[in-house]
Formats: sequence, C-alpha cells, structure tokens
Amino acid sequence: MGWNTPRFWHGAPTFWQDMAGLNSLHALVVDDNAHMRTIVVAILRGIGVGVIKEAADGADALDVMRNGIPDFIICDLNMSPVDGLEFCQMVRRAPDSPHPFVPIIMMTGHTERSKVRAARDAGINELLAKPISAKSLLDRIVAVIDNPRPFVKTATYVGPCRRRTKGKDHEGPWRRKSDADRVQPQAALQPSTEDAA
Amino acid sequence: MTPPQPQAAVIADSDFAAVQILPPSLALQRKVGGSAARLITPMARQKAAASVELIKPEIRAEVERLIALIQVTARERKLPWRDTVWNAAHEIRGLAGTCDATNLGRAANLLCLYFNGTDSDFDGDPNLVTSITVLALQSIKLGDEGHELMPLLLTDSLKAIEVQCRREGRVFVR
Repeated sequence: MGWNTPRFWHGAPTFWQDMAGLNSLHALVVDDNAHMRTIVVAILRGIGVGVIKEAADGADALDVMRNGIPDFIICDLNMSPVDGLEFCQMVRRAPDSPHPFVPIIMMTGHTERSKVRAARDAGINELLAKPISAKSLLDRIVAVIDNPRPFVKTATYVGPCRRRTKGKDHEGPWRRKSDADRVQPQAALQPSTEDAA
Repeated sequence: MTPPQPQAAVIADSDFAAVQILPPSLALQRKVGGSAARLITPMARQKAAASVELIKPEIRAEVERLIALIQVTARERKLPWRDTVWNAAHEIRGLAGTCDATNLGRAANLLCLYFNGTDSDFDGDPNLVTSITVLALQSIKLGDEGHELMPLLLTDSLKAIEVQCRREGRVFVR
C-alpha cells in the first residue's frame, strides 16, 4: 500500500487529531495508597490520557520525573517518607528539579484551613478534597490546562501566582497595606466632583 | 526610656528586583490542541465515571479490610496502635465517598478527629473506637441512604468523642 492510497488519506486526519488530543498528555499519579491511585488512573484512562505513570511517594515520584517529565502531576498530601508538601517544594525549588513549572494537583483528606494554606504555599496549582469523583478531578485538570496562572519566583515562594481573584476596590498594581505609603492614588489627591458639589 | 516601636513591614526595592513573574504558560493548551473543556466532553466524563464504577467493588473490599484492621487493632491494643487506627481511618475517609459510602466516610472521619493531635504512643479508649467501628459497619450494611437513625448516631458519636477528649484533658478540634 502506497502513501497516497485512500486508506492513508482517510487515516491521516484522525491520527493527527488523536495526537493533538488528550492522549498526547503524560500524567504522574503520586499516592501511597494503591487503591487511590487505581481510582485516579481509571479516571485518567477514561478520558484517554496517553501516558500515566505512578509513584508511591515523593522520592519515588522524583525518580520517575527524571526518566520522563510529566505534563501534570496528581499528588496526595499525606505520604511517607516524603509527603506531598515536601515533594511539591522539591519540584518547585530544588536546583536539580526536572521541571519546576509542572502543574500540580494535590489531593487531600485534610481540608483544614492550615493544611490548605500550607499546600498553597508549597506551590500547588489546584487542591482536590477527598473523596474524589470523576467530575471533581476532571474539573481540576481543565482548570490547570485552560486557566494557567502566572508563575512567581521569590526568595520565599516559587509556584503559580496565589492571587486567584482581584479585589473589588483594587485599581492599581500595589495591594499590600504597606504599599499605601509608596503610592498615592491620583484619585485620593484630587477631590471628586461629588465632593466639590 | 522609650520602648522599641514595632517596625512596619518595609519592602525594599531590592526585594522587588528579586521577584520574577513569568507569564502563564499555554504549552499544555498547545499540546492538546485547544481548550481542555472542549476536549473533555460530557461523553468523556461519563466514560471516566463508568471506569470508576468498574473498580468500586475492589474499593469496597479494601474499605472493609481496613475496618476489620481497626477492629482487631483496637481489640489487641498493642502500642503504638494509634497510628494504625488513624492511618486506616484516614484511608477509609478518602476511599469511602468514591464507593458511595458517605456515611462510612463520616464515621471514619470521627475516628480521625478522636486521634488528631495525639502522639504515636497515645493509648486511646478502645471501647469508643470499637463503637465507632460498629457504626461504620452498620453504615456499610445499610448503604448510603441508610437508616433514618444514622445521622443521629453520627451526631451522638461526635458528642461522645468530644466528651472523651475532655476527660483525657485534650482540646477537641472539629
């Protein structure tokens, strides 16, 4: 069969569409509970993610990442010896990190404010509270792909920008309370027309 | 002598120089060929949910194994039994909801609440643990809709844990 036979031409568009779809994605699932990994892998297979690798803890996951960089990571918080927060910080900050910018979706049964804040400050992209469902996981994957956030690097934080919303009253780039002395908004210096009236 | 005044947080210009903000990466969108919301169709979502349905019996068996482990551990009470029970309960509350056993997840969460903030060598009240394990088994037997008494039993168990924590001189945190 030659390259210009009808079969090739019919097959080609489907092939390229498939390559550009979700099966071109490479996911890494990190959880010390094999059954939880099974659930996540089943959901990812269900939507046709091409390559799904698994790791039992953070250290194992770093090894897997060195052999092939995933497009996104789905990781549990409570693991040992290297838990999800440490793993996330290693991915984001370690000088030898294979991919500091990789999106990380963190699953957790701990929904206390302190844990959520710790996960956010470790540099996760999305948080997924257990028990997970296909809908909740797929919504996070859509968020990671469709709504990427700016990536911030400071002395104390490396990860996606933690500001998800813009304050209602905010009109400029400065948002900290201490910035009030730095920048005087022009509106505050000039009386408004209502005051003058 | 005037007391030292609290210093306001001063952000030096050099700190701002050290901040790097990189624009959002659209690499994944480019790789999949567009919006993920468009690619993950309602049909794909149904397929994913169906994949989870297939593994529910396996998950349910694992949850039952973990409940049995808690029962045996509380009965034997060999130190450090606290970690075994907490870890098993933590796994149950993560898995239970996925296999349509929300009440079981709530019962497991009660066990986690009881042991939260304690050390590995904590010798808790095995009777309380056993009672909640029985409640967990009942919730599996009755299913997620359960009996009308199930919410009441869960609330009463929560109160029992709160009282036991006070008896042990601990602060109960929900």
